[in-house]
Amino acid sequence: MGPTVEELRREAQKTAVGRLHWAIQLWNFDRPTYEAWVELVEDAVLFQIRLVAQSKSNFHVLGEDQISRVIDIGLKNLNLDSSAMYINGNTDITIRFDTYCWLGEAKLALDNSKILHGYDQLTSRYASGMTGQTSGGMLLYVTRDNAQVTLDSWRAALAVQVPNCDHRDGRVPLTFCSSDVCQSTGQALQITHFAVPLLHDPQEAKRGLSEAAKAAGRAARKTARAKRAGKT
Amino acid sequence: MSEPGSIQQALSTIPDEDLRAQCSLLAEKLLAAEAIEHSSWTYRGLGRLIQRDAADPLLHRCIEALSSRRSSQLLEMHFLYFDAHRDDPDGEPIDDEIVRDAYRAGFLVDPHDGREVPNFESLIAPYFVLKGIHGTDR
Repeated sequence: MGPTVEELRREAQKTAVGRLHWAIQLWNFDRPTYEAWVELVEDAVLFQIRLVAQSKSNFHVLGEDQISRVIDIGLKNLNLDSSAMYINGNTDITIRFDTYCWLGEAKLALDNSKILHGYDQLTSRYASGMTGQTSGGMLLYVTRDNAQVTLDSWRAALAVQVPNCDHRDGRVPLTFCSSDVCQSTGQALQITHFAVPLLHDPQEAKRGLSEAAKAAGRAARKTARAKRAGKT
Repeated sequence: MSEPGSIQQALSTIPDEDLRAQCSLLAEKLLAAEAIEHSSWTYRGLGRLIQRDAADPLLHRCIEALSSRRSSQLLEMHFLYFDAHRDDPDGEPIDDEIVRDAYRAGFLVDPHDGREVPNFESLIAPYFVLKGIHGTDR
């Protein structure tokens, strides 16, 4: 008797990637609801975002197309049916399972007008609004500013531009969620906005120790020596 | 089933060197003529093909890559049922739809006597066939 499903599940629970792989392997038998599937897909996207952010020194000079392709390769290696396509100057990532679909619109987050352009494409051009195809994400590659600042700015702009967007905090930091309506079907769309922190601005070569800091260091050294001399 | 060349090409994008090599080797063994005559494999059987223990996590990842990834899907997963009331160490293939129903309902309906079997995951074990072929040898 080979390992049972119970034993394989227990083994898979030991790591985040193991859990993800095992869930995907069982999808044909233990079919998730669309909402549960989207949550797992977005966990996988977040996993790839963390990996990309950890190597931001390599990625901050790349364009959105290249960064998206790296994320797409990572998603494929998590055994997801992912594809990245470059259409009309924008890159989107599509993840599918059977009739389910999740669309990701990637943008270099240089200003809110550019982000809105991508958002409008996602909500009006690409999203079908069919059952099982009503969720997606905005991947904001933040190369020139603090990621939280950029996300907050975009969230404020979206709240004014789309007053009924019902923006709310996401499940994890550097994300928020919003809703919209698919023009063609009238179905509610659920959008998760992900800030991908890629600002790489090393400070070690720019910032020297201030005079006040140097003086504080000297004074502390002097005090410590005096204490030692007093003990002996 | 995908073409052997396209499967090997898809496997070549796996970044982990050990996983890539083992997946490639397993795919090669599975596609070999003598292997095709053998129609199904458990984890243990697949492990034997590449000299890996059935509990080896690397073997599990290979099997996942060859059964879950659309671009390199060479294997289809099905299940053996080990009835706790019968002395059957080899188990018996169980219909996919019975397993799907079990996940929907939360219990498996025994195919022989209709008993409701809770905690059924401890009584089923995956086996695999080459995609498009449903066999029963192990």
